[in-house]
Amino acid sequence: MNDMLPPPRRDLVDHDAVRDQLLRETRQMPTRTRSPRLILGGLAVTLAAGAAAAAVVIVPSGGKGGNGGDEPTITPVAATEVLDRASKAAGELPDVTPRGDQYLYMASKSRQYVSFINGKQEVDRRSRMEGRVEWRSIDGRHAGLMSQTGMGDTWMCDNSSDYEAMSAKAKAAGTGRPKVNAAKPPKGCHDTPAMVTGLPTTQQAMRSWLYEHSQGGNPADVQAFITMGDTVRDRYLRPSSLALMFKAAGTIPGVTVTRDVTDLAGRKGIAIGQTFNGTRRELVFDPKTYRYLGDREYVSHKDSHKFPRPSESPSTQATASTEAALPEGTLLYSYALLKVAVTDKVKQTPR
Amino acid sequence: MNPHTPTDDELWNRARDGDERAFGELFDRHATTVYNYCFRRTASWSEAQDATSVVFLETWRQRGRVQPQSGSLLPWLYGVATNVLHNQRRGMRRHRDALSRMPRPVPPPDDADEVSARLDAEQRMRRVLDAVRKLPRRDREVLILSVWEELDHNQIAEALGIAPGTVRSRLSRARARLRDLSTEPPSAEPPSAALPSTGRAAGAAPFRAAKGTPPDTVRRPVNAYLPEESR
Repeated sequence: MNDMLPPPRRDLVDHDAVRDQLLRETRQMPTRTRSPRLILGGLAVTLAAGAAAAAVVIVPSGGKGGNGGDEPTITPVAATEVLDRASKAAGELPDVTPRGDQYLYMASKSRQYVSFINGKQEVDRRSRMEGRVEWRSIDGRHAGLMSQTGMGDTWMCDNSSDYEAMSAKAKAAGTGRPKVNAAKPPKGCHDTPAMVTGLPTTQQAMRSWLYEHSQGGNPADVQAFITMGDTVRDRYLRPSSLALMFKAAGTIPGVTVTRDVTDLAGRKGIAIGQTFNGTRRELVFDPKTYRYLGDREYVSHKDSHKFPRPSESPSTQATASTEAALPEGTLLYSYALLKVAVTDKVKQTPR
Repeated sequence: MNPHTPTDDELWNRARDGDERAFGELFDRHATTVYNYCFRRTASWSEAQDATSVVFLETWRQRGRVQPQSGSLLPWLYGVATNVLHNQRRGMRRHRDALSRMPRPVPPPDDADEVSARLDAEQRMRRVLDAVRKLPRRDREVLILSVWEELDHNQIAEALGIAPGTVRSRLSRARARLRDLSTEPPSAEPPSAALPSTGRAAGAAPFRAAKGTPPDTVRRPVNAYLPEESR
């Protein structure tokens, strides 16, 4: 009767080797839920009909001819979970407290797409890839510097009589922008400090902070999400604050997940974002470490939430027509943060 | 499991979102179970090994649609395995290239003990399978998941994508069928006598043979499939 019983269990032959090979295979396997990949196009010109609509665009390589499976998959329930992971990862970052006279160094790549629309159809599209290195003043009182591909160096120094004088001189000399001499920065700058201070310390208060620090004609929930994205992208937050900010973002209505994203730098990512009025805005995270990788915007015609609109919203109407002419998934803007660090000086490259 | 050990759900969600390490951890957790289930369905260790790879490749391929319901990925894996085994050629064809890159599914021939133990096991498993083949496929699948793999009704329902009520009815049909089969020749005993588990040799652990009863002289194979409560 023993022959009616399965023999004892045994282990896989070469369990570890099978696992490792399996993981190599999964890395190469095409995904069912395809992500928009970036395709480059061109800067376009207004055609005939006069109604020139320029929008910034990038398109999934699957393109329109695809079978619908090429469109990004958006899953509503999991955004909180993804943001929780991002929050946890942020909380584990080293707690660097930069001095006011230091700089937030950020190296990035971005691509903007410009579409030209003739009537209801896109007729041309161009884009420009831009590499950029920035040194933003931690306290906003020191001149920051920005190096861009094809543009050279530019001082970042607002509301400074010193810099205004430099600009006026350059203009008079016909050279355009003041020539940058890193040893002689303009003085008396009053820029937005790169480091955000005075942030609340609870999730609920952080959420309120996002809503209170938002302006614009968008619904409050949309604006709060935009503010969150802008803050994370352009400024330095202590790890604890960044962690809270991601937590708070998880409570903003209409935030959904896009999986299997490939960013401008070719990195795999997972994104959370909001879709409103023809545009989806997303923050992209590394799917393993949940480090912030960058953000992007693309055309999407289905709002991710029934956002209560502000009573009068003239601006939203005006922009709606532009994206309406573009196919779902058309990328408008993509930004990949490549390196972030704190430096003592401008033009200093961190290790 | 300490409280920091991630659940299957957590690992799966991370894996699905692109964290390979999490998928590797799920493989470590469940590969042996899947492997042995595949062996029990095929009586071939090397086929079982290939099928196991295909099960995980398929699970990965379909990750957009997988959401474990019970907190464990195992029912889903059993479900994929059942499909892969039922539709072997298609599954294998899809992953043929990947399979060709997998480590060889046989133990090194110089490990004579391992090789012969595996051969013995294959022979024994073939005899076991011959007995269950008398059942219709769907009933057989439910029975095997219930009795050999010890899944509960809800897990079987999740694995096979059927209602728990269907699991119940298939199971009882399968049991009834086994009782009928067990009364057919060569068995001379009436069904009622066949139900109590009579003396199996020691080692019949999975089916908890009663101890101390005299050795059974009548070959009554299918009896072994009857779960305890029905005997």
